[in-house]
Amino acid sequence: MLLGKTLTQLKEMIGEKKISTSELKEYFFKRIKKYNATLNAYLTLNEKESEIKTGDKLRGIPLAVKDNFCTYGLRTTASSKVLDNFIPPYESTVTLRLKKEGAFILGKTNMDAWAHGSSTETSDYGPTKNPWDITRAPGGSSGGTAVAVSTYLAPAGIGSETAGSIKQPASWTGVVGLKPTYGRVSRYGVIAMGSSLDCPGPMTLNVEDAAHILSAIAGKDPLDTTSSPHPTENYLEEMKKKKTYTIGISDDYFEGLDKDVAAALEKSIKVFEKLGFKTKKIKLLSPNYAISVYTIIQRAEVMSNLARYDGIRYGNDRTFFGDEAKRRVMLGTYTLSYGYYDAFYKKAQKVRTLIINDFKRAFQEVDLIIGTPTPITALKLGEFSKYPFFGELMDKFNEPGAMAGIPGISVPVGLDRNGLPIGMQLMSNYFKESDLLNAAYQFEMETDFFGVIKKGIQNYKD
Amino acid sequence: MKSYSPVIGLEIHVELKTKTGMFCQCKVNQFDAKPNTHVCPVCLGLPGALPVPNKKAIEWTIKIGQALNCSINKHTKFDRKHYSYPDLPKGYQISQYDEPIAVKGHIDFEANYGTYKNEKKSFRIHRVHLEEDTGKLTHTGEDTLVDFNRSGTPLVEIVTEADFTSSDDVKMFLEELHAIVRYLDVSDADMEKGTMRMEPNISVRLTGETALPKYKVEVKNINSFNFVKRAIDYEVKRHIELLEENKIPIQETRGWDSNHNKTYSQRTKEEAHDYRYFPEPDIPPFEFSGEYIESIKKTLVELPHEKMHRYIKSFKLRPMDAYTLTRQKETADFFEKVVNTSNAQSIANLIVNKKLSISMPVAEFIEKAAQLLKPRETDTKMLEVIANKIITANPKVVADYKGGKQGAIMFLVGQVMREMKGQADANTVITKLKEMLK
Amino acid sequence: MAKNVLSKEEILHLARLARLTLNDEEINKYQKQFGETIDYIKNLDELNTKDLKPTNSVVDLKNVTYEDGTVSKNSLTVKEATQNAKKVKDNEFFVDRIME
Repeated sequence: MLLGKTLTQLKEMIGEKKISTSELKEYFFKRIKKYNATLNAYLTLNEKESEIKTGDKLRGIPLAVKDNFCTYGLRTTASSKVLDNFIPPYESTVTLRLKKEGAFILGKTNMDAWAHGSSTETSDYGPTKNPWDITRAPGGSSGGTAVAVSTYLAPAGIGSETAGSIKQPASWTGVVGLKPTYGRVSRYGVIAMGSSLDCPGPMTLNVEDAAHILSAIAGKDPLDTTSSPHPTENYLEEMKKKKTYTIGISDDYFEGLDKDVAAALEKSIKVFEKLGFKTKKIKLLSPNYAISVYTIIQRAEVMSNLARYDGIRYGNDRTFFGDEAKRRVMLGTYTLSYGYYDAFYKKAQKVRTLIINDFKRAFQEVDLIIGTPTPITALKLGEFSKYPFFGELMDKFNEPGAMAGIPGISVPVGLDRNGLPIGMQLMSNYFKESDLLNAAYQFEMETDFFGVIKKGIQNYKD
Repeated sequence: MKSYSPVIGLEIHVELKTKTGMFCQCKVNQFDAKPNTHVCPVCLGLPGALPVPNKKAIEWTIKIGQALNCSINKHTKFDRKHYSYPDLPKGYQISQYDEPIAVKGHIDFEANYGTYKNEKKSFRIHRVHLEEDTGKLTHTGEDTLVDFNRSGTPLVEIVTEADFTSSDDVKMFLEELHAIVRYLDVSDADMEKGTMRMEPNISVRLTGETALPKYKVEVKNINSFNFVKRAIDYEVKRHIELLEENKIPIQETRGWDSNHNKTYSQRTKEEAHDYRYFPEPDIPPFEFSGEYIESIKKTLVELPHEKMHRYIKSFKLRPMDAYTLTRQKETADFFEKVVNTSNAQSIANLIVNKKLSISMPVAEFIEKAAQLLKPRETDTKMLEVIANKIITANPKVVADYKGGKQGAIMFLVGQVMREMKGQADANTVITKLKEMLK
Repeated sequence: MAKNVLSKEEILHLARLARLTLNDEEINKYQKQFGETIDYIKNLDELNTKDLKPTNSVVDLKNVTYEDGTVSKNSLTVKEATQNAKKVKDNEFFVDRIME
C-alpha cells in the first residue's frame, strides 16, 4: 500500500528492493492522470523515457517541480503564455542536484505566472484547486507543488519562495514547506522573480523528507555568486537531536488572525512548552513596513527580470504578459524611474537594513520566532483579484523574513471550522535550518500534525 | 564675425582581450566564428541565468585606471542599466553607475609632443568603468539579424571631461590612449575591428564664455582617428553656422558618414534615456584593500610617454624619434635590445626610417646595422678632386652657405656623395667641405 | 479615494519605458491601483533612516569572481541556442522590426 508513504519511507523501500523506481514512477503517473484534470496541479508531465542517475540521497524518488525551474528538454513556462513553448537548453542547479542524487522529475507544476501572486490564480493556464475544497485557492505561488504533495500526486516536491510562496500554500494545503536562508540553495536556472529574495525549497509530507531534500540541494554553486559558502550541516542528524529552544512571540505577528488560526497557534505554543521549550515576548518592527519595502524592491526586481522577454531568442513577445505581470512591471518602472529612485527604492533599501538589524537583535534573545504564514485559511477562488494589493497584505507575516533573508518552516497544525488546513510557521536566524527542522520534527513527533496530512490524502485514494 | 570655441568630451569603449566573458565563461573575441557559436544561457539572457564576474577583467580595468592616473575606488559594484534593443539580451546591461572602478584621472602632454607643436596640455578623465558588450546586429536587405557571440565581452568605458577645444587635441589624445591601452596588453584596441570605439560629444560656445553650452551632439560610427578629426571639424562648422543664425543645434545623436564626409541625424526625436539604474542584486559588491590595488599598480609597465622621456634623457634621442619609437611597445622593446648608448640616434634612424626591419632576429639586426653604420672608406684623393669640382660648379650655393645659410652645405654633400658613388662617408664629406669653404 | 493618482501621460510613459502596450481600460485601472499602492508604501516616511546604509544584498559576500579562461561546461550548441526562437536565418536571430 503506497498511498501516503513519505519520501523517507519510499527511500527505504527502494533500498530494500520492495519496489522498483519505474514501478514508483508509474504509480504516480496513474494517480496524476486520475486527479490532475480536476486539480490542475501539473502543467507538463515528464513521460518520455529518461535515465535515472544512480545517486544516493534520493534514489528513485519521484518529485514534483515548480515550473519556474529550468529543466533540460522539458517544457518550462513559469505558468506564463510568454514561455508557452519554451524548452530550456540547460538545467537549473537544483534539478541537476536532485537528478544527480537519483530523483526523478514527474513533471512541472502550476504556479502564479512568474510567481506573481499568493493563490496560483494568476497562472495563464488556470488556477490550481485546493484539494480540501476545490472552490478555493491552494495559495501560491507554489500552489501546484503544494497540491501535488497534499494529494499524493508526488511524495514530495520543490517550490520557491520570494515572500511566502512556499510556506503559505503549504499552510493552505496542509503540508510542510521549508524556505531556506537566501543563498543557501542556488538560484541558477530558477526563472527570476525577486533576485535578492528568491529561495528554492522543499514541500513535503513530513519534516524528515524536507531534511532529505535540503541535504541534496543546499550548498555553494559557482554559477550563482549569491549562493553562500557557509558550510551545510548534516540536517538529518541535527534534526533528531534532543534540543530545546527559546521561542519568541511578537504581538504584531498575532494581529488580525482568524479565530481558528489564533487558537491553533496558541495550541502550538502549548505543544512546544510541553516539549520543554521556553517562550519569550519580543518586540519586532511592525510587518506593515516590510510590506512596503517588499512591494517596492520586489517590483523593481520584477520589472528588471522581465525585461529580457522580447520574443527574439525564445518565447512569445510582451503582448503575452498577463495582467498581474504588467501591473508589477509598471510599478517597478515607476519606483525606479528618474526622480523617484531616492524616495522609493533607496528608502526601501534603508528600511531593509532596519529590518535586518531588528531580527539580529531579536535572535540574540530567542532562537525561533513563532507565527503563521497567513492570518486566514484558504480563500475562495476569485477573492484575490478584488484587491490589487491583497496578496501583499496576506503575506505580511512572510515579508519581514523575506527582506532579511532568514529561513522559515511551515507545518500543519489542524483544520479550521470549515475543514481547511491551518499552518504554523517558525523563523530562525541565518543558516539555522537545522534548528527549524529540529523544532518542527519534535512538534511532528508529538502531534503527528494533528492528523491533517493523513486526513487529506484519504480524500484522494488510488 | 564672432569667434567660437569647440567644447568636446569623449566617450571611449575598449573591448578587453580576456579569454572568456565578463559574466560568463564563453570564449570571447572570436572574430571569425560563425554566428551564435559561442553563447551560453548567461550571455544569451535565458530565463534563470545568472552572471559571475571575470576577475581579470576587473584587474585590467583597475590597471587602465592607474595608467590614466585615476583614483581607484575601494568600494565598487555593478548596476543594471535598463534600455530596450534587440542586441541587449537581458533588456538591461550590467554596467556601473555611481561607484565606478576608477575616477578623476588625466593624460598630460608636454609641449611639442609628437607631431603636435602645442603648449603643455592636460586632459582630465572623469571615470573608467567596466560593463558588458552587446550582441551584433546586421542588416541584410529587409532583414535585421542578431548574433550574440559578442554579447558579454568585457568592455571598459572611459569618459573624459569636456576639456578638448580642437579636433587636433582630440586626435592626439586618442592616439596616446590607444598606445597606452596597447602597452598594457589588455586590448587590441583596433578601431576597424571595433575593439576600440569612440564617440565625441561636441558643442560650441563663444570664445571666452565659461558656461557649458546648453546642448551637445554625440557622434557615432567613427572608426579611425582621421575620421574623428573630420567628424569634429564638420560638426563644429555645422554648429557655428546654426549659431550664427541664432539657432541652437538640436541635442541628438548623429552618425558619421565616411563616404560623404558628413554627419547625419540618427534619431528623429530625442527621448531622454531613463536607465532606471539599481545595484545588481545578482552580484555581491567589491571591496579592494590598499595592498591589492598597489599590487596591480606594480604590474604596470613603463608607459609610452615615460619611455619617451627616458629615451630623450638617457639615449639623447631627438624628441620626434623618441615619440615614434615608443608608439608601439614592440618597437620600443626591440630598439632597447639592439641599441647601445653610443649609437642610439643612428639605430633610431634606421628603425624610424625603416631602413632595417624590426621583425628580423636581434642578432641579425645588430650585424646589419653595424654594416650600415660603419664609416665608409673614403678615397681622400678622389674626394679632394670631386669636392673642388662641385664647389666650382655651384657658386650660388656656396655663396648662400658663406652668407650664413648653414643648411646649404647639405646640397653640396649630396652632390659629392652622388659623384663618389657611395665611396664616401657622409660625415667625412661634410667635414671636408666645411674645411674647404672656410 | 487614493491621493496619488498618476496622469494618463505618466502611465503611458511608464508603459513605453517598460515596452508594454496598454488599452484604455488598463490605463484607467492602473491609474487607480497605483494610487492605492503608492498611498500605502509611503508609510516608510514614518521611519527615520537618515543614518542608515541601504542594503543591496542580504548575503554577506564580497569580491566573488571567476578566473578568466576557465573552461565552461555551460556553452550551448548553435542548435540549443536557437531552438526556441520563432525565426532564425543562417543561425542568426531574426528581428521583426528595429525598436527605437
